[in-house]
Amino acid sequence: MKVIVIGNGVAGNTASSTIRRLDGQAEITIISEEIYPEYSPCALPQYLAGELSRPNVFLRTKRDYSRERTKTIFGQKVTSISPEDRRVSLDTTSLTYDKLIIATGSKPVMLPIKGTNLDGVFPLKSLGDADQIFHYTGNTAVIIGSGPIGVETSVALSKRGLQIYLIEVLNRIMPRVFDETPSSLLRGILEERGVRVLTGEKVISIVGNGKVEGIVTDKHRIKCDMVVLGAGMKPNIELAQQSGVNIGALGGIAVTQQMMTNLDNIYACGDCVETEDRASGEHTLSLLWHNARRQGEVAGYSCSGVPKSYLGSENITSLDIFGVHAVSFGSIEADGNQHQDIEVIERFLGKNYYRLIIAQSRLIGAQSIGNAQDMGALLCALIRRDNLSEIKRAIDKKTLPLNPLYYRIARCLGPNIRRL
Amino acid sequence: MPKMLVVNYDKCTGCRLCELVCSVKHEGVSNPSRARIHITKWEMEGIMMPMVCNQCEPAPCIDACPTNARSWDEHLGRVVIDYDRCIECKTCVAVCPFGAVSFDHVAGRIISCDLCDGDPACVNFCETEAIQYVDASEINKRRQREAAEKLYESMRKFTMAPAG
Repeated sequence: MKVIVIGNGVAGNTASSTIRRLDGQAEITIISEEIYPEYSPCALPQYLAGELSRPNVFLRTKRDYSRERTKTIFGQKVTSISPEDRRVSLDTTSLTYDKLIIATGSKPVMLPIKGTNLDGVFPLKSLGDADQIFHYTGNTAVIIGSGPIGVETSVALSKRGLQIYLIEVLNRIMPRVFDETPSSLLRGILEERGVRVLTGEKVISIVGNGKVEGIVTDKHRIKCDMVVLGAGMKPNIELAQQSGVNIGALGGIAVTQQMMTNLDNIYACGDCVETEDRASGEHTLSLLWHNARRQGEVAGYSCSGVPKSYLGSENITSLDIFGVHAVSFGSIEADGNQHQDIEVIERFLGKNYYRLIIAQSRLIGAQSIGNAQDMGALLCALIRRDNLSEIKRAIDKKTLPLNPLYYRIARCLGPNIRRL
Repeated sequence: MPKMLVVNYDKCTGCRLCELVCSVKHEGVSNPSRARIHITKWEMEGIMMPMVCNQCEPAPCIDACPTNARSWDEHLGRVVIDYDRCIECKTCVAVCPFGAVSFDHVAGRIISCDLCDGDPACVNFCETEAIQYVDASEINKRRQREAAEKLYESMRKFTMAPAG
């Protein structure tokens, strides 16, 4: 069996390793536009902060690929796929496949503003981007967009001694991950460490003569040496789309639970696909590491003819902000198209904060700041859509931690709930 | 066969000696907050519960780790951590169903039970044999699950009185 994997991220590599585990004979080729062996994009902020050495960003070496007898074509772009003759064309050559796995990942959303082409403006997606930011000199950086990537970048560059401006167009930071109260707590932590946070402010243009000199928002002009675009990521689907692969309503590749696309022998996994959310059942673009890994595993099994199903994505955000741990699972209260009767339980316990979002006796979201050791059990309840009416009374009565109570949920399920 | 920790909740007196010996063995200090095992107590209800890594397989913490720092050690049947790879994102802390992964603020690193490389100190010091180190057979796993079920049932009586 000849397998081609397009994409060298966690989804593509997991798929490839899974196939190798199941089939010693398969001819596997991984094609990637980037020149590097697999690395962890999640570790890039730590690299930027100077806390993690560059070699430790990598998850595999080139030798690991050859040991697994996986061929690699790095630094080349796939220009087209022709499903009829099962052929993939690259810049200089073309290859045939029996099974094709599209794991092209995601790409930064580019803002429709002037000046993004100036020297000193960077997205933060790839190791190449991080290298450029790492070696760029300057004293002041503006981060546009306050999602987890924007916030982590602000923390990282602030640790390196830069003055940071974090700009968010909506009225709070990480607006899709945290509700008002936790968001403002996190903002406080950033500001305490000298990060200037500007919310409800829209960037109009980036200005400079060849090189970034500043930005203009609807409220301020800020001088800066560097701009990092953190306006989010979107599925990288152009190649798939051109080949006739169906795209879902949210803009990700449409796949079955077996990670199959509408075209025979073509599978897709990772950030480029659209899946169901395991807790809410709604369609989602997850773009998270753990989901991509499981999708890659399922795609690998499917390619090898072993039926496995992807049970859905889990929305988990966990980040460290100057030593404070912030976690969010599932939906937030402020989500649009939200269920009618939402009940929110908030608890402050010393330095820790918990927020549970409950709809129709089911936990649909949880957020915490500080100690997150109770969050895992809540995640189980969320994924299983447990009826919480009994447990909720206990939550009302007792203070957290709830471990003894939730221990049972966790214990009964064990890790099985997270099995493929 | 690898071995596993089994907890008998009925036997735990809540003396917390396990926490002390765990922190002494790993960190060289008597500091329960730096232990990898924790006794959760509900004093009024008489519930003492040692909470410790379950060495899940497959493990949520391994699944969620974005740098492959956590991995499975076949030989001892445990989850191990590679500190060179760990970026302290603490995702493992957040996803552990048992709350058994923690961040040691003194040493600045993630900690969880490593079974003391096959000779668990907590087991050696537990006077009532509430924690035992036994073969990781299916039958022992089942016993462990049943014990937890029983505990939950007894706990319900105290914690889930009708609302009103």
